[in-house]
Amino acid sequence: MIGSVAAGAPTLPLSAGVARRLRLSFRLAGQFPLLVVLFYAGAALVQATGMPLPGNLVGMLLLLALLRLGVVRLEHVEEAAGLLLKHLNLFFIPLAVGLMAWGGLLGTSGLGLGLSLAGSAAVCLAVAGVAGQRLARKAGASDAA
Amino acid sequence: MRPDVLSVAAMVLLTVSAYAVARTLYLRYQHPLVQPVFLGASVIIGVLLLAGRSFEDYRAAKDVLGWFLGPVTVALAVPVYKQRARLRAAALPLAGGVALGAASTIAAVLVLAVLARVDDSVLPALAVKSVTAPIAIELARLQGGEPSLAATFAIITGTIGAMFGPALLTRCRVTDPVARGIALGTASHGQGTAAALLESETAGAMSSLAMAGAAVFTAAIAPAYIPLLLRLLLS
Repeated sequence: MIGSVAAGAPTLPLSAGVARRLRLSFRLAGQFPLLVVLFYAGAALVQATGMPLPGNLVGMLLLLALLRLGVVRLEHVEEAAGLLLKHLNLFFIPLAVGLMAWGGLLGTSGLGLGLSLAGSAAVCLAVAGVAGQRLARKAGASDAA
Repeated sequence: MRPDVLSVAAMVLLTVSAYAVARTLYLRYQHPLVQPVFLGASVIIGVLLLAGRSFEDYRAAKDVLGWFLGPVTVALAVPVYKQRARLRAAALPLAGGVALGAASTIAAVLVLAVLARVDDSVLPALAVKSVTAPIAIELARLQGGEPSLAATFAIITGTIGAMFGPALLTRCRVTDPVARGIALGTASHGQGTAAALLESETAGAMSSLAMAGAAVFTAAIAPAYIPLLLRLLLS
């Protein structure tokens, strides 16, 4: 009796796990197209109005507005968005590979350009970080104890 | 010339594998040299060069994966929405951090580039390097710069910020996730946001908002601010 239960036990969590993964895949397949539709809606809106913003940013603002209005609920997009954002870096790698095409320029004035870009990034991080932290403490938005 | 499906699939697979290895290493060591975009792209460029291929062989894979940046940017609304209660209190630090950070980095990059004797024709594209690549392209065009060069500088800036930003912020004693997110998003747009998302959801949400804010703010001040700085520096 006990033996048969023990023998049957391992297959049960396994198949339950597979079923859970399948259900998640179905939900992702339903959620992802909504993000795609909003991206193209944002792009169309930019074309129609000529506003100086890229379509993907307008698509993000559209989704934010729809969530606030309650037209789209968090469970309609949350899992697909979470998965994509967890791997956000993956989608920047091909852009960085594109630097290959600028090898010539980066070779001749690479040092000056690199120093300018690195130095100004450091200035921005320090200024925005320190100013943000002071203002956050003043506004009581800080997490820090 | 039509790229065949198999070689595009191989390039996409190469990219995903390089990313998976780099991400595993980064989660374990958190060292700038194993930052996923930097290490992943370096591995791919290395493989292409060793195989005697040029960037043209990779372009189709770049278009496939690059397309996802559209829906992925839309997805950034989710962490922002989840943090909405905190955002109201963070409006002041966001506005202040983004405005000061964006204005100072434009001035800094132009001063440093002039000191380093970088060619004048490159300056307009350099000035807009802190905003996300699709906006940098448009802004550079308006400033009389080279659009694809602006996108290149934006990506280098994003990579630098993601590699060294977290350590630099800790050095400057910026420990508050709200402020860390603001700084990473303002300085390094999407890649900074990816780094912030690895730290916490709060930092990620702030970074998404700062990235959007920096783009809008830079677009607003660029027509007057950049020509003024260039006149002062080049006279």
